[in-house]
Amino acid sequence: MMSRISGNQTGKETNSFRKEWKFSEILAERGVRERWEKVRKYFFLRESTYDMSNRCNIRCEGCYYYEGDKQFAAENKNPDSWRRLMQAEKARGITYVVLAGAEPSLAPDLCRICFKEFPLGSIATNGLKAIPADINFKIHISVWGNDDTSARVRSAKNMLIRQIENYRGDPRAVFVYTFTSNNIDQVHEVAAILAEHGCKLTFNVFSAPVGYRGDLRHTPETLGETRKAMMDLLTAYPGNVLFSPYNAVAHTHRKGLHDLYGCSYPRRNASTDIGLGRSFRQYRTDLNWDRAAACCVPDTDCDDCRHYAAGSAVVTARMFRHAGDPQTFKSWLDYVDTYLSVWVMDYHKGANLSDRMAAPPENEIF
Amino acid sequence: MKTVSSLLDPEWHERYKRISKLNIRSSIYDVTNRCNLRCKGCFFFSSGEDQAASEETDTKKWEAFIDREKERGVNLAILIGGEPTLCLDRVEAFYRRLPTFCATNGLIKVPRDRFPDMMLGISLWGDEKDEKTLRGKDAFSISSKHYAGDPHVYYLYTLTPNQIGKIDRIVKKIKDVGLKVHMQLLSNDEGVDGFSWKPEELAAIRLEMDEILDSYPQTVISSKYYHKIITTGKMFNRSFGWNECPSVTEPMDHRNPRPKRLIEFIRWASDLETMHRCCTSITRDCSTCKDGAAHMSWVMVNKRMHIRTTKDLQNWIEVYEMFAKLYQFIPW
Repeated sequence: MMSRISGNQTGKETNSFRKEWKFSEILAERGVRERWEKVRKYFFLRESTYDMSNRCNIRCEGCYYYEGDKQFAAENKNPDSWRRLMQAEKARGITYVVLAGAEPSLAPDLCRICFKEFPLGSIATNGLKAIPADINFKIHISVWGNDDTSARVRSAKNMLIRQIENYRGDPRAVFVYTFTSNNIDQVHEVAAILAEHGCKLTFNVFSAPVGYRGDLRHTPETLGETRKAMMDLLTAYPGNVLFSPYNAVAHTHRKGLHDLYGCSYPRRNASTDIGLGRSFRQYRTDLNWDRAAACCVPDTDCDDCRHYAAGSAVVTARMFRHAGDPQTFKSWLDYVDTYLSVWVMDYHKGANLSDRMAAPPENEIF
Repeated sequence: MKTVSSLLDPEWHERYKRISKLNIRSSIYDVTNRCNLRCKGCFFFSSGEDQAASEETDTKKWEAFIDREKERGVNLAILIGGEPTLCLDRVEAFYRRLPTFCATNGLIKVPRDRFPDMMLGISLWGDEKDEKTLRGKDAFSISSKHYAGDPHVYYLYTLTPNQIGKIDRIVKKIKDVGLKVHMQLLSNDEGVDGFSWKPEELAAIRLEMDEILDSYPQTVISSKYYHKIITTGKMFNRSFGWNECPSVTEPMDHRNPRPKRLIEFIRWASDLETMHRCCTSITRDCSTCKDGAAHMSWVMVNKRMHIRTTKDLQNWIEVYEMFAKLYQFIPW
């Protein structure tokens, strides 16, 4: 197929001629159309999040849940209230639920009610208390370093092996390793242990809560080291690591997600037009929500936000910007394929279409 | 200061001059409350507008009403409903008095001996399967037989998220029967499952609309700037919505400040007295409204905003030309 070559809009000659790609040309490459068709079947997902409990069995340094006032919301434990909420959520078009904060495994009966109303969802847990097998949501188990670090930052002993014992061989489970500025090297031993037990692993980047003064916050140097570790592990454990080079770029960039892509959650997005700014809610344990505070990691400092859950919506929604050339579009497809494999039961990640890092549209690569 | 002439070369300036003297003043008329289809997502029935007024059946009263409309300055009558072709006498009353456009589902063939050059826009809701799901029947197979090769007919193809990846086949079908097509997006007033838009779906459909325009420039009546406007709901830094919509019935427009709007625009119910709020239903949420004509008009009434760069002004001209073609003020 012929493609057009264009310069700038005024038609003046420049030295930076670049090919202007048609979308069908991008899709014409082998594997790309197939992946596009695979991921776009899931465009129907519309999520909201729910705090299931204000209690937790551990207390981690830098936990966003225990910042701000959401931790003081009363717990509504009434099954009927939850059932009604879930039905109302479905009626307003929500198709996916994220059950989180503080520790959802302490409220299994409420999680089960949510699952009965919604076939698709996920639970964010520290993994120390097993969630009953009949609740067939994806389960994200947080890992913050090796066991020495977990003992120090989370006050929990032998954490990784306890988590693995609860979820080994469980297709629901994805271990989420959160890179802080001081646990980067430890990821190698953690990944080796998880791989040895056949567990799936993805990556998160510590995003400081508002007002955080501790030393877990990243610097440009630690972001660079984190990026390198992610890329190394992608190569070392391709069967276990659910990630892509573009995920590494998006989450370890010098700029946070909001600066790179424009956050689409209501807290940073005043628009109530089509999209998350309209549909997304973050319910607290008393089943109230506040538009001004609603995002997937409330009380996180937006300028520092590189959170994996935020990216799954923020990067995915920016499809148009990524459709300008094949390399960028493949990177975006890898990102979406990764996010779906992490968040959706029975969705299996394909091999990454791109094995090198691409710069976010209109940005440098770091 | 930037002026129109300073931004345009002679060729574009000619195009600009051709449209700038048109001075289109449209109003919309519900010709009847009845329809021979009941489509899921049809704003007229889902919002109860079919019950808003009892239909005036005296053709003489329609004729007198249309004369008054003409005196009011209307120079484009846009007939909707219900299905206008159920009441051809009323349609004829318009056609004999005013430049008239008639929206139809195409099931009833408008006799060309009676309406030789009346522009018809035939609604199309997707492929055979989608039409069966949403309308209960494959209306295209009937309408395309009625109007194949007719130079005063185009399809008004309403895109849903379900159409991603399918537009090419449909447009080719339309090209093959010798007709034109214009695309707009479903607003999904009835919340049909899977038919509400997501940002990535809007991005995908925009890319496809752009490409289809490149591939079938003789068949598709559209512009890329219109695709951008309708899929993003944004014009420069402004968002489409109640505060911006140009297609609000004039006597019911109490917005303060008033945005740029269509002059003297009214949407009349079929009793010839009742007015509807705007060109679509009152139950629609303006922040998610995807109405094509409203978005086109939004661009058209905001000319000054586009006198920025050559490209911006050319975009404006293209949208205006598209509108003028669709309502037969300039040739295809």
